[in-house]
Amino acid sequence: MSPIKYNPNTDPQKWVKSGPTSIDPDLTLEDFENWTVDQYPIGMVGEAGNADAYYTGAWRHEKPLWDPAICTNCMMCWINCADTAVIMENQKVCGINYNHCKGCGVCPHECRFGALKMVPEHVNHLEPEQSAEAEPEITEGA
Amino acid sequence: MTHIKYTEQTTIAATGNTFVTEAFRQVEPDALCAYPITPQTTIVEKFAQLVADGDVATEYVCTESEHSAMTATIGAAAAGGRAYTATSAQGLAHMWEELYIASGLRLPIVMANVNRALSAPINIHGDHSDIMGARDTGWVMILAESPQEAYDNTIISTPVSEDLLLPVMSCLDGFITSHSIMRGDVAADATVKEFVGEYSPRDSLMFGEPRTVGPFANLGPTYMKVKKAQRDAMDRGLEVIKRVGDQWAEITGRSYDHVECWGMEDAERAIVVMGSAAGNARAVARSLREGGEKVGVVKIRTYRPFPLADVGAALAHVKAVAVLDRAETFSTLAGPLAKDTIAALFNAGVTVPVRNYIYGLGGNDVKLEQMYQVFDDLTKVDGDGIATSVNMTPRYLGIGPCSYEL
Amino acid sequence: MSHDTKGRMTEIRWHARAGQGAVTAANLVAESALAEGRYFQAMPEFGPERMGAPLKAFTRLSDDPIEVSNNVEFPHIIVVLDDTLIGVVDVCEGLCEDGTVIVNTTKSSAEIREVLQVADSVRVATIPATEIALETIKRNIPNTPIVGALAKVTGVVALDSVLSQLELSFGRKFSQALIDANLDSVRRAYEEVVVE
Repeated sequence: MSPIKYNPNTDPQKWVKSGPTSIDPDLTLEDFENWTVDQYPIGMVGEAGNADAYYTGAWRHEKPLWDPAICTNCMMCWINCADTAVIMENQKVCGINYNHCKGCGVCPHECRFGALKMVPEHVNHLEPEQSAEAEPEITEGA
Repeated sequence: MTHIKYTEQTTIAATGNTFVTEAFRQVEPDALCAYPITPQTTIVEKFAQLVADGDVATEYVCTESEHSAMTATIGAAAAGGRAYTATSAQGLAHMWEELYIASGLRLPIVMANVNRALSAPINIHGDHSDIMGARDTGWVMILAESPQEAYDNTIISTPVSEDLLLPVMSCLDGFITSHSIMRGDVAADATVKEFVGEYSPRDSLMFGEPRTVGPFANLGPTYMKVKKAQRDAMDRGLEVIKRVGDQWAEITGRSYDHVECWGMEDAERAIVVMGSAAGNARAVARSLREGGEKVGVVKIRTYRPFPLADVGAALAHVKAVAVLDRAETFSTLAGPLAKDTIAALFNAGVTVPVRNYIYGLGGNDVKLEQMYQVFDDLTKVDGDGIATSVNMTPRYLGIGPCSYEL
Repeated sequence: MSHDTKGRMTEIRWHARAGQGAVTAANLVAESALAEGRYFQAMPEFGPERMGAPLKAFTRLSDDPIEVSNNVEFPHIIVVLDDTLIGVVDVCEGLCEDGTVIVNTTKSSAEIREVLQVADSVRVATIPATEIALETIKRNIPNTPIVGALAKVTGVVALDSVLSQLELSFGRKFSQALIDANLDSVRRAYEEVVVE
């Protein structure tokens, strides 16, 4: 589940998933401003959960980095994330969905183990002294 | 005291909303009861700051909704104070029943409306759908094209409302005018104070003999006669607005006309429009005139009461008219401004083809190419008059190449 | 079609994120133009109302009264307050052939030119406005330095007008120390902006 990064040399990225919508195979979400009057679903958004396809990660200037070595899977970050940007699988945290994380900083605030840290947007790795391997310590149970 | 006090007419850079707040500050109403809603918010937020800083002696009431905002404003006005408020879109719609009450009770309330699209779908940007929903409420409605006009219109609203004993809505386009910083002149504080004068309510709950406000008028002719009195007041509206506008013009040098014409002396094709888009239409008309085309723009500044005679006179000699509506009222017979314009043409005995366009809904950008398109369409009208014209159905501008067929 | 045929109106588009002071910058330019006796229009176009969300602002400057109110489609000048917007938003859309782009960045003009892929006739200016802001006013708000850079690169407003307007408008709200720091940030950017 590697985060998708944008490449400044390509077209501006607004969508993380392309392809036809489930409501009409001839329509793609990226093209929604060009849909004709008749192509819009009547009165509502017709496709469940398609907000997932819209890239909002560009709104942040800092982001959380998650350290799997410290994480106890207590799920407090997941439950507090307003963007459901903490990726869970089988009740285990897998990482952060950077397509939608807005860098609000709530998850490191809620993590009482220090498994999440806010870093400037361009940083992708924790410095060695920031990660658990450098300072093993006994942590509390979940 | 932190706000500047103007001792002479001063040119400033400010948003449309700030100009409205300045007008409010200089008139210094007794009460301002309001609820925030984008894009009106900065008017009431700035005004609340002025109250907090002691720059105005106005009683500020934060109500829990716009319905309450108008109720409280009505209460304050009925009590005998100068009562102001401001709102937009859903807020204006929320106070709908109160709008009729304010005018039915003949209260001289002034409200700034920052024109915004009505939901659904949700859209916070500028169009005229909200005010069109209020055009039958018995309020006087004046529209601004620019921050300067928003200021002047709001100042004029007070003497107009107090003369007619009808509430007045001073309207400006959401974001386009409200949030746009432009250059404009504000009068000296003392000038405004003198212009609006000391308020002495004709009737009020607080002063003089005891009174009842809001009586019952059931079956029988009473209700109808009270409405006729309201109608008579509205019928005096054009004369009063023009007189007050002229008095303000004498002080500021900026004229007020119900209908402001450009190029209409010899125009063959004309656009009729209200609000900020009038400037776009005029810019395009100027450009076309340079190429020798006889085009003109008729800007409506006073919308209610509708200046029937002035509009009819302005369009008396044209060959084709396009009316631009920034609201969709879903009538099968043209948009609201188009209907009013057609009535004016009929009233003046002028028969001319009329094309109606819906533009700029939800703040959709009014690109200049849309105006060029309209003037161009007017070269293709056939010779039939409005009575038999099949071209009444409004056409949409700015939603793509297939937005209409001629 | 978008600009005044007499060529006396300049159109600027700003790209920033909410919270970086773009609206204040546009305001400062407008007030400076006022001090010079010119006409102006500064309009924001908000996206989602949240810190960090990309936003645009449009400024028009003219010797004549401005009557149009549509969005600026073909700007003469583009100001980018946050280089992380490049690639997220098409910052150079509609730019005039002989236009100018001013970017707040620590990268060189050559690197930015490479990324933006604009025509050779377009001038690209860079200024580390964030760094200057952090050093002078000690806050990450790059708006005052960027106006200094704009003044130097394009001359749409004079440096003196900007400085006196800043003093005037900030004078009511901030301490002298903060005002001086802001003036300093404008001067520094004016001196340090690099154009290629």
